Amino acid sequence: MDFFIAPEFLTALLALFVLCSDFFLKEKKEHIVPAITVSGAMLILTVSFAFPFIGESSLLNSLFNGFETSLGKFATYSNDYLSLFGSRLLLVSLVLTTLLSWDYIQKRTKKITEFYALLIFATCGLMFMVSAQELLTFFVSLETASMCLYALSAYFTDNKYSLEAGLKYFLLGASFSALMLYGIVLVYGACGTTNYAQIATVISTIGESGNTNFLYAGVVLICIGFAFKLSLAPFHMWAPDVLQGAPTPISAFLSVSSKAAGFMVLIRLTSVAFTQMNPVWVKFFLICAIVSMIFGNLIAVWQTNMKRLMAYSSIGQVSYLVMGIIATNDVGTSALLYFLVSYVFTTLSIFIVIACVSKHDGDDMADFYGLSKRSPFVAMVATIGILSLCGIPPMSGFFAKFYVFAAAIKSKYFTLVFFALIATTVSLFYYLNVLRAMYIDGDESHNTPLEVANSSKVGMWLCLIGMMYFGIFPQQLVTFCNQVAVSL
Amino acid sequence: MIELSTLLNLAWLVPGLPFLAFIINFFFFRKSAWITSRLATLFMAGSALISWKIFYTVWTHPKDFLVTAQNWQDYSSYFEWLPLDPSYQSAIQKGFSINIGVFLDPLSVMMLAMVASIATLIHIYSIGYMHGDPGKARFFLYLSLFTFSMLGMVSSNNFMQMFIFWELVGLCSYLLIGFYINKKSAGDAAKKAFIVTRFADFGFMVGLVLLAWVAHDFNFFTLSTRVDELSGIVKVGLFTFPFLPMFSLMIFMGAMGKSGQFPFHIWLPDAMEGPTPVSALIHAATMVTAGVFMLARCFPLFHSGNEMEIIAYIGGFTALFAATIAIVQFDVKKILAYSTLSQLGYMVMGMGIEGAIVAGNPATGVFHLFTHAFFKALLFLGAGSLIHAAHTNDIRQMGNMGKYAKITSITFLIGTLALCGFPPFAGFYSKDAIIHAAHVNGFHGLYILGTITAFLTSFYMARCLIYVFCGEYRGEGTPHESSFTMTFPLVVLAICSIFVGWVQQDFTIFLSGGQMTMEPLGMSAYITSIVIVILGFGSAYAIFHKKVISPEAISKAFVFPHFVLEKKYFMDEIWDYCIRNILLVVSWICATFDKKIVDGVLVDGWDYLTHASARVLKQTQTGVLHTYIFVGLTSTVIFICTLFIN
Amino acid sequence: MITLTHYLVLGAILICIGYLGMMVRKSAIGMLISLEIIFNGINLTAVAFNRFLHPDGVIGQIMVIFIITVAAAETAIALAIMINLFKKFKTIDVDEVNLMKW
Repeated sequence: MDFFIAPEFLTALLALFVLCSDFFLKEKKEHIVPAITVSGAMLILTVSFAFPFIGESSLLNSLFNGFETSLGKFATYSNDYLSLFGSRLLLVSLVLTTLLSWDYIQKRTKKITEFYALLIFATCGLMFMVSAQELLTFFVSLETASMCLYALSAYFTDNKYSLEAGLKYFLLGASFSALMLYGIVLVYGACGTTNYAQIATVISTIGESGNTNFLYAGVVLICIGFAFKLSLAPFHMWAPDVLQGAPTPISAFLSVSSKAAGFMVLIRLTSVAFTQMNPVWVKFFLICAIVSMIFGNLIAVWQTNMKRLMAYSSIGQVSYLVMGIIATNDVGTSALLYFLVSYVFTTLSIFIVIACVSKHDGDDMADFYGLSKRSPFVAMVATIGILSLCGIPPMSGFFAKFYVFAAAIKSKYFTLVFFALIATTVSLFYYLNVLRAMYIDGDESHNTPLEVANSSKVGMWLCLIGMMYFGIFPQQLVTFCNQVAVSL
Repeated sequence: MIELSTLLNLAWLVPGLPFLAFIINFFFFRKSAWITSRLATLFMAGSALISWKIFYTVWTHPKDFLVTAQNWQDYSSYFEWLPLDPSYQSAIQKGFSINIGVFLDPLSVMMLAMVASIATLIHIYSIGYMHGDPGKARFFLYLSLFTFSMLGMVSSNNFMQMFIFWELVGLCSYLLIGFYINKKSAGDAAKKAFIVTRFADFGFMVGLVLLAWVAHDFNFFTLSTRVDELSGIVKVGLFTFPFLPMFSLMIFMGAMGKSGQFPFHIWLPDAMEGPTPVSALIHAATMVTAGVFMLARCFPLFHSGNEMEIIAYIGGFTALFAATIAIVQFDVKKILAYSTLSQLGYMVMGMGIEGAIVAGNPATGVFHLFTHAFFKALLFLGAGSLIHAAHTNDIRQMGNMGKYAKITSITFLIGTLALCGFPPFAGFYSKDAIIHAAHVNGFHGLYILGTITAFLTSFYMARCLIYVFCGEYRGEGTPHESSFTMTFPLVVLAICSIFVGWVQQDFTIFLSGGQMTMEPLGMSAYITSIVIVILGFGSAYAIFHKKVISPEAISKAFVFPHFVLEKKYFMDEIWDYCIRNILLVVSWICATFDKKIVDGVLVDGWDYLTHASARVLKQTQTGVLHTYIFVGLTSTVIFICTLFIN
Repeated sequence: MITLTHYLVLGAILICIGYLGMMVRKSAIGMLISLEIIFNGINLTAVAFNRFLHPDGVIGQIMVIFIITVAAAETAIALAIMINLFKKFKTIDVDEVNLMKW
């Protein structure tokens, strides 16, 4: 069985299948392709639950034999608990994103197949990125995903906003990828290897000999690359523009999947490769987290475009998430993983609502006026999502924050938690604005019932179940997260 | 004996079935009272049958159910609901978490069986009592929910589950007291009950927070092994105090609220605004005894603490206090409500006395809880039947009811005798055991309090009986006997009220897992009890029937004491005064502070600050790509430079 | 004798020129070219490391091949985006593409 049941491989197959299906499908593409995507992703998910594949792939090892250093051979890629966790989470996110796109894409463009194929390729790239055991594989997987996302951001070629988003995302993304790549090369120069475990060994023996400067600079540059991908301030500036302009499913994907995958790789790097370097990256992320809390939450107060608001909100959320990294303990890792699950469901629930509610080309908050009357169900989903983002029990967002804060307190980062709490109160300003738009604002002109496609409804239900289930019964998930955290 | 695991699996059904009934009725049959009532009753009966099965097994094998800190996990089946400490590593080494599940030890098994059976009878009764009421379906929904919560509470093995269900029964009690939504008094009573018990629960919550902070554990049994460690002084924030006494008093405050101990008793008489079956189930037999149950549950934890003496005196005082008020009441349900308070006082007193001595035995108090549930439910249901017949609560408008409602009258009489503690009825064995315990262990003050209360109990119950059954019928219309669904539970409960007291010895053995026995009550107890009851009945007969001294004359002679009693010692007024003046002054200060400082400076200022700084900050997002690259690269350079400067 | 330092400094200069170009160039195409320069600087550093510090492996060389591939792919996507951008905006001056701000 080996590698053939690994979700990464199956997802790559699914992507190729979807791409090829364009040759055969003539009619009803807009329904068949997303149906294939959803069912395929569900199938892979089932396989990953039924036959979880853990271990190195002998097939891949025999294919890539060249990766050998003075420290010995190493695997470029292997499936462990974290990659299992990551692939499941990314597949769930893919399913939800597809459900979100189904109706949205069909209404706006004729180019159906490529969209889903690129989406699956991006997911596949992110999966490989999580499973990668060395920096080069990681970088190539990251670029695979990024290139799909550059194309997807600019997918609506007749829409100025989408094109602008694509341009900005590409130029910024590529230049910061290059920065990260330079960091990787410097780390390679200092250590002579790119494998995480080997890097850790080298760092623990390197001592004070000459090459530490390369190493430090390399680590900081890699961290900057991550900060950019995760939209941590002051490297966050692409996020609002890109997320506003890109098609809504892609905004959702960018703020959910790519961040989740980025965090999982960051967990791997900080707890395997650069453990010894923690004074450097802890300080870096600490500053980033505090700046993000301020920027993300404050600027969001003035936003009226829902997608832009969600972008700033996600900058704020990421600053809480990164606290799990800063905590540098197992609790932090486990809390971060739990937070990621909660974040996926919560953020996607709101993006699905945005996709349903927004009129053609524009996601103004005014579209939300009177939503509680237009469609009580959608309003309820949005309300629960917003409350979960605020961190109100019994939604999963509460425990996510609770655990992350607990982890940070355990490592004695009281100032950080204090800032985070203030940021949480500020975030209420704009979150409650959305609720007000749905329940209070609006007049008789906002009474026309909202038609919601079935796919979106299913997506909303899934998000709702996810948020509530993991909020009310967090135990199983926390156990799994602990297992992952301890296995690293 | 059947397997323990089978028993545990069965035990899930006991609270599970009423919950299922609630869910099914809620989602499918909200409109049909007929189906709702039958379904709820059927499920409840199933739950009761299972609980008897479990009860029987434990009763016949008490020695196999000696639950200790080492083996408690064998007797519980639970799932970990909420891990509070996310860092625990494996399934074996469990961290600090909140568990929800069922737990079988003699105490919980006894409570399960008692609650389930009485709830079943009251379900049956309610089918008749609520006949034709437009809210019947809603009533049964609440009733199922309540029974589920109560059963969930008694089968908990940790404080947190207990607290969750504790609040749930409080909620159900609130809903059911205010069941007649069109009646303002019902709404007020519901609010009062909720607020007073919530106020007391504040103590419970503080206790739980302390527990989580200091002990990192909620489990009753693992905590009980750490008594010595926990008795020490702890420092929480700025305060230092001995942990266990503080904790037990805090927890007891919650118990006082639920079990109506002075000064939190004020809600219980008002709670009689609810339908009578509710008064019987919630406000007599089950929920109000939750406080006593909690004391029994925490008995090993509180055992031999000095604070238990305080608890005993609070109980004794409440017993006497409530009994005196009952003398001047004319509403049959109010009389019974005060009598409930008084009996609860006995139970708390029993728990307190036994807790304060070294060889304490919780069975004394718990047994009274057990018997009281039967005869008080009987009395309330009988009262409900009388009210149903005479269409009034006022005993002055009843009279000669024996002629119209035979079964009700006979069962009511049996209930009264059981309540007054006339041997061989149930109340005697349990109540006199408490008075006896006070005597033997040297609590002479409590002994006197208990005896006086016993006399008063007989007196006011006899007064009630005389008003209800003697003379001519003074109301309007012709009363009639109630339907079979209503009389059947009366008969069952009456039989129980006669016999359940006889198992006193076995009960003690059963409850302690075969570790303790209780002396049978001596001849002196029988004689004292009979004399007291006869005295009480005789004086009531002389005053209220023969009018040797007419009651009016007495009330004229003792104008002031009578007035005080009629006003219930002004407790409502005192609370009202406290709330109106002290609380309002405090809240005025708080409100002013809130408006001027918090709202004015903090909130508005915060709002202004947020918006103003956000307005400045958002200018950074120029929309020009070069700005973004510039900011990003500059930050990079700064980060690298700081790295190499350090 | 050309040492490692020479290569590294040259690589760093190339990278700096590239980023400078990213900051001052207004034309999207110019920025793309700057990006290529950056990648070349990185490539140079990678092979230099391989040759001078870790001559017993080929990771640095493999890295270069991958980077070239990635850069080529990125250029393709970038050009596609820019063509469409030009159709819509009638310019490839990135500073004029600022519909979204604040």
